[in-house]
Amino acid sequence: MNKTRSDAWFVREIEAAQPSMFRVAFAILRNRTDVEDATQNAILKAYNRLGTLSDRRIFRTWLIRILKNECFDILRSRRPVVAIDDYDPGYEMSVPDLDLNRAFDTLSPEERLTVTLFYFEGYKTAEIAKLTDVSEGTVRSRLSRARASMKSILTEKEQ
Amino acid sequence: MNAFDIRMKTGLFPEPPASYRKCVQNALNMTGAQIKPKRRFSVAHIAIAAAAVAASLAVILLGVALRKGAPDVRPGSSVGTDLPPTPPANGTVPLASAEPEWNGSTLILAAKDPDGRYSDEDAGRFGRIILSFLQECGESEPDELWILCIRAVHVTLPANDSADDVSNVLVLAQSKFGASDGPDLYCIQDRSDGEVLWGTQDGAFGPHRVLGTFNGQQRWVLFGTNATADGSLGHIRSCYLTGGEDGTDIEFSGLLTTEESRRPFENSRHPDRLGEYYLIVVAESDPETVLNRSLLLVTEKSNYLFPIRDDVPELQVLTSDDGAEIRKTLDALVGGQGKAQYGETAVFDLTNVDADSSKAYTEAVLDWLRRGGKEPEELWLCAAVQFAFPEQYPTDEAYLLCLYEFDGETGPELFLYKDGEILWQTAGNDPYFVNTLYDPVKNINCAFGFSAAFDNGPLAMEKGQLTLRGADVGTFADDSTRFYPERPLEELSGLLSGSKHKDAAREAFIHPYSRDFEIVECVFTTKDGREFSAPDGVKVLTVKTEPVF
Repeated sequence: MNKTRSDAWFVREIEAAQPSMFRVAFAILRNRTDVEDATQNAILKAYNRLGTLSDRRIFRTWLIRILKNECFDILRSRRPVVAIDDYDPGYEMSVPDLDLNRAFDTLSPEERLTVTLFYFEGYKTAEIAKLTDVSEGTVRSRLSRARASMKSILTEKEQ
Repeated sequence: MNAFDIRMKTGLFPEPPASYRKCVQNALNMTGAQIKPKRRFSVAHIAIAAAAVAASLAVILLGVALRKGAPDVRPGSSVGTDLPPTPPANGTVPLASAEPEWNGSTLILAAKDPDGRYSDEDAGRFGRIILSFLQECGESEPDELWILCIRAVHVTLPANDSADDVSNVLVLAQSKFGASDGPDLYCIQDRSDGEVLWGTQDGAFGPHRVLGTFNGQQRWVLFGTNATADGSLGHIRSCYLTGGEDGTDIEFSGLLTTEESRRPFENSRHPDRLGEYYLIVVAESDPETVLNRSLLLVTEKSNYLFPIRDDVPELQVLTSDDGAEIRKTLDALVGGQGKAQYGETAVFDLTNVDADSSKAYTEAVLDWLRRGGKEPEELWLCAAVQFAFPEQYPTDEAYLLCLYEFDGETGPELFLYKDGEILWQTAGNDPYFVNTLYDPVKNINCAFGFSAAFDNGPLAMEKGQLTLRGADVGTFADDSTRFYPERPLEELSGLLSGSKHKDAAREAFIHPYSRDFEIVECVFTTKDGREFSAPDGVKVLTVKTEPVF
């Protein structure tokens, strides 16, 4: 593929992946500036490393993996605690279910990522395991723990 | 699908906000993959954001956006500069051998302004010089050129802050490079709590993004920064504060908060960002240190090192055919001991440098190698580390293992050793790693560097035995979850000796510092109990040095 065609393909793929990238980054980072930093870094990195990708059919997964790494890289460098009451994602947007989002916020970044990949990106647990470098059992337990935790919080709130 | 699952699927995420979509577009623009309308040749604009803070603090951020082909910025044009429009013929250009080109569109440079004499015209002049220089080098012109001039003297704090003595005040400047954004400035008194005495407020880039201070006797510092192109978003990723308590350079990277400011090592990053335009500016409290007076510009394919001379306040671009000046600078950077063992991996002995400066050194070394026509697949650099141990650990006869990963995917990992036992270690995904280690008061007596690459993959060994002449340091074990027990011994050996496998350990080396030790044997043990020594091809540097502490 020549460079022009390759570039056009890259742009198309990134644009198509935009919602997924947003969900993954936002799930992990929960903060606008960090989300955008991670996204930009991931896109740049993906572009620069495109030549190393052996099979372009796995581009989306590869991209998400890069993004995930960028997100955790940022997590390492930022202030770890954000009080939930003060939480401000920095985006002017209305989340569909505020209570659900608050419950989601209480999960660990790894759990949030796992939930997002499972529910929204359609990955199977084995694929998530590979993508996140943990065992499939860990993925299942994260999912289970996340669900239980969120359910518990939501139930408490509703009562 | 039950009700909860449905709620999850529908209630968690909104559509990406418009600003996010814009961010993606900006990133695509930065890659150059996005097709943009061709620009006309014309002098574009010099975007200048100048901030004068109080009576005697001024930081000028100049964005010079130069559209391609601007007739009056070409070398040889007379545009009212008293500096030569082209690099002097006998000067030195730190040229990369490999046909450098701009893959993005933004070039950022900084110039120190020790006397506060720079004006907008000066910045424009610098821009023309730099453009001439780039053209002389065969580089294409950047779409934009940003010049950050920091005038580093004299702070007057707001009247309601009672800091009469400004000599120990550290000014931290955080600059955004958006066309509509000026620099953010923070003034932090030099004290351990890192309290922000005064700061500009600018939306998302408010004081929580302040870079923090360091418990030391800094004078004034210039910051290195990079910025994303097209001005939508930019922030400091890496900077060096000079003049720490022990006279070392301290690297701050990433986005630090005031709370994090006392944990500078937490955010240490490695030179994995060659695709970005990096600028590292280091100044100024140690005039004897070459690094402190150099600008290092990293572009996609080449690095440029711009020494700044005290006697000429303006930015100087030194040129020469043989790169002697830069080589000399590099020699100074690496303490005259740059010994490269080049293969897939280049390993440098940088005995006399601080790990804090490893990024700058590594970039310089990369540049050095490139100019020699060598592009290492990896560059490992391990330098003596001046870490301190957590309070609860004694520093005597303890050792620190530094595990660096330069792939940009993960940060460094550190192991704290004593008597063959790991007292403390970082955890792979622990976002809080390292920070408990740093204590600027206590220093380690001896440091060992050990590295192994694993791109999100295994550290292909369970434990290793480092046998040193005169001392048996003991064994260590890595996180077993990273171990791939099914790998055959031969493969492990291959991995260690330099396999190109991207997802596994490629190279290992052990580098003792500070004491008169010599590695006599290096044995790794797989999880199933098999042992093997470091195979041929593993580059083991053995150095003997005098104790450094």
